[in-house]
Amino acid sequence: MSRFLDPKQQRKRAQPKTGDPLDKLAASDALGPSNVPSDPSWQEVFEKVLPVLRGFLHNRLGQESDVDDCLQTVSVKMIEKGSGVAPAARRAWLFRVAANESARLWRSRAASKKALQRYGSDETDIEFPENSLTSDETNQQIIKTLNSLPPTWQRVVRMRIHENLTFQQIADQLDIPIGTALTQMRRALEQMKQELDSDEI
Amino acid sequence: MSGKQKKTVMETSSSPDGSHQCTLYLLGELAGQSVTSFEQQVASSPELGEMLIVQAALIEEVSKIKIEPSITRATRSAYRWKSIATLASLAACVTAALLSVQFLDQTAKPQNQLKQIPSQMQSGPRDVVDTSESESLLIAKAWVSDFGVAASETEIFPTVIEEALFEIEDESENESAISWMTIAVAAESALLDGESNDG
Repeated sequence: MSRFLDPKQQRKRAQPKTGDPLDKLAASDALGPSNVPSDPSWQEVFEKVLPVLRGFLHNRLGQESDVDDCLQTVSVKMIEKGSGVAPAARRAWLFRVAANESARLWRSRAASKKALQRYGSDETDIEFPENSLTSDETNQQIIKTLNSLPPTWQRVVRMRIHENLTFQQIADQLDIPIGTALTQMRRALEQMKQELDSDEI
Repeated sequence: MSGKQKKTVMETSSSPDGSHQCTLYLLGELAGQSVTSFEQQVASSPELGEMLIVQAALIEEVSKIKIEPSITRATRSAYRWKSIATLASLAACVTAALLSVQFLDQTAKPQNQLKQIPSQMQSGPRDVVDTSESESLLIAKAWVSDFGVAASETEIFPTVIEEALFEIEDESENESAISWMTIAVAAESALLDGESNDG
């Protein structure tokens, strides 16, 4: 049986360890109890991505105990900071946090020189901002890159990510084949990645 | 999403490259056998895992930017109706403002103010005289009564006064202000004449 607990159990375990994240959220003026991401959709998302998340972390960390520790940290961060994440980006956010935490965990336990050579160098690590906030500069770069795309591609990206429409709904609304919507999304992300890589965000 | 739609996405993405498959997975658009296959691939391929993180970073960064909603067919239709409603409201406001200005201009002119008087008041000097006549008649009655004429004699007042009234009906409007006095004097003269004739 996996050592990893589901998010409800994680919340109970995490409270004394992390200084009661739920209490902090509830006490915050900006975030009321309704803003705590305890809705089923977050938990469903977490449970759905768990197998892939585990496989990804296992490749990075190697040891199952480290994977479980990392997953626990991810679930706590989900409770603490997941409320502001766009629904369409929830899976992506979980993987970013997992990657960030795995890098942090690995660095803190950098006992194995072999593992260090494989994953630990700064060149191979993908650094993510801990609080998952985008700087204004990066934000402007992304906006600029997005605006440089063909309008039809921009439209599909916005409808899929910002309006959280499925590709089928996008295809229906725009009267285009679903394959076209998928292709436009793929090309848009590819081009954005190329341009952002060239700008070294 | 219906089963048919899921099948369509899966069929469309049956042989995508790794990054596109990562995108579909991160957006929750992979289903059924494709997800199981993807899980196995990520577990066995660190490269695919890293590709997944790159795509996740890209999607999450894009999701955080603040943009205007896209102009889809549905929203375009909504925008069109909104624009029409806005223009109609604007046109109504302008029309109302113009009508108000026009109305104020018309009412400000004296000749136009006259037009506002009911038609019965505009039919001619005769009607104006008629109005003043009725007032004059009442005043004349009161004046003659005060003059000390007996009640039996006042019974003939209306006839006498009306006869006197016909004599001055061609007087101008300006003279109507003192017409009651003229009527009363004429009526009194008629009464005195009647008394003298009676003997």
